[in-house]
Amino acid sequence: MPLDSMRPVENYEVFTARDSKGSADKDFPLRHNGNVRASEPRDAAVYAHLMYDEWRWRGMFVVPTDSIIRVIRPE
Amino acid sequence: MSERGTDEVAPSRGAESEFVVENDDALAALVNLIAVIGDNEYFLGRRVSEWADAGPLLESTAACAAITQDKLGHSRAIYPLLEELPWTNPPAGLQGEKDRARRYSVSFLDEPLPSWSSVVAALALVGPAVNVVLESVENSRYESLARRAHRILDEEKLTSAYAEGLVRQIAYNERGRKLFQERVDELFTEMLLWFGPEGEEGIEAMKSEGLASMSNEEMRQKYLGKVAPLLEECGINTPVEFNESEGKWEYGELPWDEWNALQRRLEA
Repeated sequence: MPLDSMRPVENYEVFTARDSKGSADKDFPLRHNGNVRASEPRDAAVYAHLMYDEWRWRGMFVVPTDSIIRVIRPE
Repeated sequence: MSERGTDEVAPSRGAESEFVVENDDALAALVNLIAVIGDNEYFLGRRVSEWADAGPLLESTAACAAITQDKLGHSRAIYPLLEELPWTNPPAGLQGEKDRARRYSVSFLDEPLPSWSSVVAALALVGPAVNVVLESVENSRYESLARRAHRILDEEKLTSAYAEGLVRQIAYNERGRKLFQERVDELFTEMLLWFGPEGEEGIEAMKSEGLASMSNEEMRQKYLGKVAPLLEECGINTPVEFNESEGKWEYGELPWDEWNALQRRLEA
């Protein structure tokens, strides 16, 4: 199916956190894991789940890239 | 060193007491249903796998690969039950699509899916049908099947959400909607037939033996409740209508003379 006949997609950033089961460490912090393209947040969540299924995550979030506000810009 | 035999630590397959079903009709229907679930999971996985490098987005390609892994895994979990039941010469589980001449899967999956709209139709219409049957056996007194059904249904939540997203995606504009409508027209009647005629002996026998919880018509109604509202919302026409006063879906006469009840598929 050609891309031009598809519903428009936007970019979402994927954030994940692992737990520390089996390790003496504290829970791992939330970190940026990658991104997905999807037409709506629900689809983005499904894609993120399917594409970044490398651990039994403690938490996973998707955030529209456009919603991220840059606070410090590189000089 | 322990003197325990290996059977005490890890019982072999023959060590468990054999599951007994007194009613032969119920047992035959159970064996058939397991072959049907296994084959449809197998062929759905296989056909989706053929699109695991060709989806319209990287995301859909990755999703196809994940769904393939799930579906083929489900078939591998289901097939061994065929040998566990006290039934002579059950159908063999499939590892390759030509392992067995007789297929117990819907005819829509016979050949590689020719287009993305066919992939969407298979995931949106075949997948939910298999899930309805799994729901019917999720509390079966045949615990080996019930446990597997429960696990598969849990894993299917993500696939179902993905399939719904695909339908919304493809039906977004007129061109995609038209292509998808053609695939739905090809497949929908077969899926209505798939649950069998009302009051089918084998399914009734399974119900009375506590092996399944839903009748043919209860499964078909549950299926329509899952798929028809989404199709309607996306502007896809189907030959069904919800009768508000009776609280059920109506679908008119079905072509039962084209239906193979054993293999649960349309005759070629």
